[in-house]
Amino acid sequence: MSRRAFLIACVGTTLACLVLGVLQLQCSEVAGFAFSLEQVGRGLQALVGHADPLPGTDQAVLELRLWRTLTAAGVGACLGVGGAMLQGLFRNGLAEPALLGVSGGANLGAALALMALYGYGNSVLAAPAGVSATVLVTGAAFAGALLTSALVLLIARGDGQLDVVRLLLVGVAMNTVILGVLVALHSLLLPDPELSRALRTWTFGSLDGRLPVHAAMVGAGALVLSVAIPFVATELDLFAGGEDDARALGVRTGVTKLLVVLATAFATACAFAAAGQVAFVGLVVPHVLRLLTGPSHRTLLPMSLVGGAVMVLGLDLLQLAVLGRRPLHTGVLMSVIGGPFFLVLLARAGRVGAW
Amino acid sequence: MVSVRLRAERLALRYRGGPSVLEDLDLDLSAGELVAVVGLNGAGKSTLLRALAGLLPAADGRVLLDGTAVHTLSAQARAQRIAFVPQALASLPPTTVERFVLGGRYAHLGFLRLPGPHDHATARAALAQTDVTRHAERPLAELSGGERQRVLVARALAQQAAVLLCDEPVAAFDLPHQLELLDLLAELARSGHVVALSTHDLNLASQYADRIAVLHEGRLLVADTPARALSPETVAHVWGRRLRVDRDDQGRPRITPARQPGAS
Repeated sequence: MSRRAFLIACVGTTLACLVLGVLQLQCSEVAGFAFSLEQVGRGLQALVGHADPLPGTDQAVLELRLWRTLTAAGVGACLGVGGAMLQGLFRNGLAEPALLGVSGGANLGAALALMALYGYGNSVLAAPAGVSATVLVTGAAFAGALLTSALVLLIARGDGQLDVVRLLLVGVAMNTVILGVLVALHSLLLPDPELSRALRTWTFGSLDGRLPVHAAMVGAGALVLSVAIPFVATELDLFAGGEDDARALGVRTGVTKLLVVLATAFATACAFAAAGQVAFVGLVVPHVLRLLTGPSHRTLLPMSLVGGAVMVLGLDLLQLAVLGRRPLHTGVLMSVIGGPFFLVLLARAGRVGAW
Repeated sequence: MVSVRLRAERLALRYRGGPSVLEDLDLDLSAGELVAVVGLNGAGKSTLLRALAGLLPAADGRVLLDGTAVHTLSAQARAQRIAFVPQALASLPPTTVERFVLGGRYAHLGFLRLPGPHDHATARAALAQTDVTRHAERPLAELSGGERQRVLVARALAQQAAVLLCDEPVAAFDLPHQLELLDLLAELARSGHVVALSTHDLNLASQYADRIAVLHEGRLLVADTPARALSPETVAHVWGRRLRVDRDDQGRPRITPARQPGAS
């Protein structure tokens, strides 16, 4: 891909991202009415203290939409780049952020926090609703994600060298273990309908009722990835011939591996903790973009940042437009619409753009 | 070019937890000579080259590049001075030939690893030197084995390192291309590079090498001129008695396989 084509693609997707974002701000899932562009502008200005707030509940509704929009874009960016980086590192198109044990860990952390909130264990905690409860669950998910990925890394490191295949296997094994525990919890807690529902909501991800803290989390994740991109992009291209080959060319492979794994683990922990398990983004976005822009990570990684945001924003917008107030978990739409879209793309492309 | 010297001192190599591959090996490679490493399968030819390239840790002893132990060099400093051509890649990068060869410039790139005009020019010159310019825009995966091997050599040339270590560089080539590549490597040696290659082809080694290192059962048996290294006794000892050794008109050993007597 030429530099010019890359710039055009970048500007194009960024614009698409902005348009989707504004469109999403204009929709409202709460009262079923739409804001005009002018109202959106005024509401945003009011948020930073440059205008009077919108009348009635409008201002609050618009702000809710804003956090939702920012969280959706951030989740997409984190998972998109995370997936692209891991596929490059593992030299495997099946790699996705969940492989580091992050999603399972986040899920388990959230489940434990929800159980605590609903009175299982030492009930010193707040009622199972409200802002503090959301923050608690998010925090627990984030901690769970980081702890699990740390454990995966620790086991995979074994005798000092981070072996990529080993990392993959440990990640898969860890996810299996956690999945087992989670299913056991779900079965045991089935008699408690409210808690079951809360757990299920978490498993499939949700963008409802997001708070500034969620937007800030995924923002931090996306920022960390953006900073890492220039330091791993060329290196991941050289990894394509194998780790030994990259080393022979002068790549500090240990540093590259560590940077990729830490940045990805952090960013995806942010994403999964902020919105639950949003499946598929980390797997599909890099593949779609590779078909469009070619395999070089110098173009693929920045494009995944905006491309991931576009995908999650787009699907979320679609859901709002089609389903309106009937809520559906974000991950569900991702699977039923994103999945077939990807299959069609694969069928047309003939072959998968190798990592 | 400054004269370089690559030297293995009492080098011992073994796989982690496994038996030793090479023991107590001393070998001196200097600028201006082409050294061929020969031996049976599993004799440790690749292992030796990889250790000389600083890519395998020594179990004992050390490898010195102009007096500096290679394992103390940074990856970048090492790659600026030593290029290693693998026998094959672990996997094929999904990229074009020219972009792949540009990867050889990595150790010379600055802070954000952006190749400049000089890097592109060096890569194109390397493509021309190895006769693959016409494939520059093709995906690496579309090339034949021999073409791909030449591209690997091109990438090592783009690295502009003083030491060039090639693991069986001509194994996948047709005969004319074998000769062409060996001509190129010999010329690089004459122009002041340290060039070492491993091969199974004793006749090509005999024709092209200034010195031949014979590895056998984990030891360096001999490292000397072709006439001395491929003496009838050594050849019989390492490769068996069914190879006839005589001399061509320039006095270089010529090895001819003989059929089993009585076999039809």
